Amino acid sequence: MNEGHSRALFPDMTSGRWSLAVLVVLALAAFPLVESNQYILSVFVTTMILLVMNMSWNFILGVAGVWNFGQLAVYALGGYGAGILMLHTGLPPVLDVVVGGLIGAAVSVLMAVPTLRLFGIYTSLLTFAFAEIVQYLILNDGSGLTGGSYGFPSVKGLYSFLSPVASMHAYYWTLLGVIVASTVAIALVTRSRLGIALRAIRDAPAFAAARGVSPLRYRILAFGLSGFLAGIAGALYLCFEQSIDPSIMGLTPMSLDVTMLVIGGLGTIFGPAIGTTIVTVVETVLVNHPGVQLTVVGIFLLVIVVFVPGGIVGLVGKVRARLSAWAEEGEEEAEEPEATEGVAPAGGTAGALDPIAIHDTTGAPTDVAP
Amino acid sequence: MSEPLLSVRRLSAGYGATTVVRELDLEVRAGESAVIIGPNGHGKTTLLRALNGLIRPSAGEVLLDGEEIAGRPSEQIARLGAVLVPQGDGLFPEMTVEDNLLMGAFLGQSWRDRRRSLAHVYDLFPGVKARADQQARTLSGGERRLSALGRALMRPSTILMIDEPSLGLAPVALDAVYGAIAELKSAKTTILLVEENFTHVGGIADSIHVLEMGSITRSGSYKELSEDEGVVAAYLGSIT
Repeated sequence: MNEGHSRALFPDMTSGRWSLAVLVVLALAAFPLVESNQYILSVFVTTMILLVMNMSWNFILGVAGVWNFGQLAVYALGGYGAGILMLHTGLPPVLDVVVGGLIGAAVSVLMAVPTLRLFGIYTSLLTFAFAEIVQYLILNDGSGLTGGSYGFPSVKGLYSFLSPVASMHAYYWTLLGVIVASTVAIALVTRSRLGIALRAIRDAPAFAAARGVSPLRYRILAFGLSGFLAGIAGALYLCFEQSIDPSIMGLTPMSLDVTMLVIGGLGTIFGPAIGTTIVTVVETVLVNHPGVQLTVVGIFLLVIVVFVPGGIVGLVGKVRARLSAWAEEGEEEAEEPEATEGVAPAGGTAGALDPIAIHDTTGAPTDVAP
Repeated sequence: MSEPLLSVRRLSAGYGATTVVRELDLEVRAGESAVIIGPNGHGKTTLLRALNGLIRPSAGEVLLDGEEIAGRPSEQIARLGAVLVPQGDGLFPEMTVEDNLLMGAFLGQSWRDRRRSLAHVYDLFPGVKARADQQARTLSGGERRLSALGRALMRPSTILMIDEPSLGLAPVALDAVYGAIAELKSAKTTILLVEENFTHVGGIADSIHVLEMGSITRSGSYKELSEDEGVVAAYLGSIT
């Protein structure tokens, strides 16, 4: 017996691609050393915060297939939770950020409970209603806890002891580290037993249950994990901006975030990064033309939805598959002229089904080779 | 005679107000290969769905290895070793073939055992191995059926329930699928298989039950039923 089909945790990552990924990360890490424009660096940092939030949403929406539209509320509550701690306790700021993540996870699990027996549009409506309620409550909060529609006053953040330039660099590198760690963690989880179970529930919940997967338990886990990451993103947003207000929630930012995920490729590892980058570049370049800004993003979305439903990552995958199929066809034509009906040639040959022998086409049961 | 592994008594099940399976009785013994035949729409798939917890029976009792399973959630029944190969295969379309196979070993196996099971399935179905990294939705009908059978073999089963394995398959693929089922029978796997007719099941069936209008109307060996003129006319006419 052989040892089975070899299967790496990152099956698409060849050594060349690993090298490219390391080079890209190193280049990004070196960027603040060569770019002195603080505005550009701040755009990078806010984009990276948004990317962490989008990665968390991509996990629940694309990997677990739960139509959760309450993610921005979880993101905001992670930020508010960390902010309240920073203002009212003497905890180290790093711990406040971690607690922000835990608050995100807890809120997300609470939101998950009523959705556990719902699917599709009903989950969307319930989670969207949750987000609206959170925004409404914060906007109308007169207790002073959240600052209502004005948001928090100045919060110290993570690097208040550094100069403005050094602080900008520190946030940049912190976010880059969080993104690298989150990407690896999400890729590992997606390939793990948990990830396989989540994808099975996404594709066919009843049949996943028939394989022994408890849809309820795994859905709660997915909500918790994505909520933790969203809470961390919210807390980092609070730290970098040194304030937070309810405008980070609502329909407009939610639409933009979904657009980023769809353009990049929903449910893929690198889709959120690509989509977030493209939309941010469009927004930044057209920052003085807000009407044109949204129109261009809308056109992008329309083109992707109509012509490339899998997003840019899906498009790249399709092109690669077509190229390799084209190359294989050339090889097969040269080597194996015969094909068999019924079972599509596996790797090009019906004989690949041996040792389950295929003797005839009369319908009589056939012998099985040992 | 030993106690039946699967014992179904007066089972009724259906969808909403519509009862499809009506007070059905059935017994399958350990190591037996039982086949249920019957026309479309008479309750074969509904029976397997009810036995596996995919729908809730409205009445009756189902004992699997002495344990009552009627009405229990699907994942609990799966934990008792019931493995279903559903009609249409029930593969997870967006997942790769290999991930689909690994789902078959989702319960209670170490990583090493899963790799061993995977190697066994690949040995048995090299065609499936060749498609390991493809999304399941891209497979042909025969490949899907073999992948679904392979997934069912990823862990030891108490009983393997297979829903219409011949459905929509070309003869060559059909032979391969039934060859795989014959291999399972020779390994003494307990099998409950449903088919629309028994053209293909002669070589594997220890017992055959005719399901009509939601109830078992006749039972016997392949030989006995193939001598029953009514059964032959309804289910075997094409090859006599």
